[in-house]
Amino acid sequence: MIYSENIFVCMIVPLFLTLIFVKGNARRLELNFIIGMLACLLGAYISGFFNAISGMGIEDTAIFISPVVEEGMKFLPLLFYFFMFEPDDDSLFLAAVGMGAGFASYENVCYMVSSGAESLSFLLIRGLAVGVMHIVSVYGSVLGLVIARRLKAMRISSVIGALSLSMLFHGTYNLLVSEPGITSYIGYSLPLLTAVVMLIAMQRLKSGK
Amino acid sequence: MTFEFLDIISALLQTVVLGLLLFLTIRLLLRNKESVTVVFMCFCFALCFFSDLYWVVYDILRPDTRMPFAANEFGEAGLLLMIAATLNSAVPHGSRVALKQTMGAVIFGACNVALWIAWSGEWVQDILIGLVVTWLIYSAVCSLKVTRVLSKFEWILLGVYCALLIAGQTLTFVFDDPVKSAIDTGCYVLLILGIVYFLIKLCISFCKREPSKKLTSIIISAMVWDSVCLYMSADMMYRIFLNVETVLFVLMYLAVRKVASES
Repeated sequence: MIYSENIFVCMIVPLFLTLIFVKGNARRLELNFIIGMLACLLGAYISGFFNAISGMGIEDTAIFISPVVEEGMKFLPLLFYFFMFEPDDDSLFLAAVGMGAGFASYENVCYMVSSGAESLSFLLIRGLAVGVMHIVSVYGSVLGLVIARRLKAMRISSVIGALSLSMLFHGTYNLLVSEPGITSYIGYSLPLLTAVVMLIAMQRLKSGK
Repeated sequence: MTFEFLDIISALLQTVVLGLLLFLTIRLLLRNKESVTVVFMCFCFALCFFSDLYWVVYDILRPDTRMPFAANEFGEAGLLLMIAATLNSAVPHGSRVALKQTMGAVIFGACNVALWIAWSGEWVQDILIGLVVTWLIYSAVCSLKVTRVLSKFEWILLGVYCALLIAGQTLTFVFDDPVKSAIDTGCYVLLILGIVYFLIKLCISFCKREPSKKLTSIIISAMVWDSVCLYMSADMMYRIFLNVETVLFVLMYLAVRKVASES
């Protein structure tokens, strides 16, 4: 049992204060970082609710249901931003990165509070795997939206498709790291590899402007 | 060799093929940036690729674990929506609605949902996927109507065929073995004949060098039928239909490429 709400309050107070002093992209990134942390907290509540009503157990809920809930929680604020404010591509990617980083950071802090922070090597793997995974998955879904908008293929199916892609990616990662051995190593390296592929795709997309 | 292993092999084969098709579609997309159909197909292959990857990992690491609301359900829904979007952009039907066919599609979709719920007991996921499947069936039916692939007699035959299939599957809940097995076998024959019929139609269209819209319509309708077959089958038959789906994905790529080059 950890007091995740207390951790959340403790973490966002300095960030909120900083919002007064920064402007432009820095403010946008920071605000999305806070929203990402809030999404993580709300996602944990919802996953807990599904765990209680489905009777699947904590481990199976974390493997099968959490990816759906977490990706949905990250995607909804971005979707609101996308449709209500019609931001340019760079602003949208910035928001996505902030959201993913906030989500991953808060999740990592809660994990460290509950499981301890003695092993630096394990925490480093966790930071590079889970941390990157949350950023990559939300970045991927936004990339899908941007491609659909740019190529005039914006439909409900495109939105659901982009969200489903990030859910599947997150779900595959969770499945891979759920068992020790070679599969977990593949799982831990998957986000970094995907990040590299995505960077190449982004470069191609930008060159096609 | 166990059945689970064969399942993994079939899914793995489809994953590899989809990975290759995804690569080819991205290349096609970079060359035809104006083609919305190619964008949807790209999404479609990406979703199916990740969905298959998820299944392979699931089958290897945690087979038979219950997952009522997992990522693959959303992936499946996204995939079916994307197939419908690909079809609707390749063969636009506008506001033209074929009333009889639409009613038939809705009834067939609803009956399928009822059967899935009876088989699995998972209400939420079956209703959600059912809505998407019904939309896909409706899109396929509209495209068949617009491109005039089926004659009046064939439409009636398709209606009777679907009714027989639903009735047969429902009767398997009423009777016990050996009658149940006999009805089950009969349903499999109907499913196979359906897919064979679409494949024959496809071959004829290829030979006659018919327009790419007509080809796309037949291929995606065959995929819809194959999806119905997949949801209604198990074990060996499931693997056969999965391999047919892999072939249909390749044909879908070829047809959409033709649509893109013509547009």
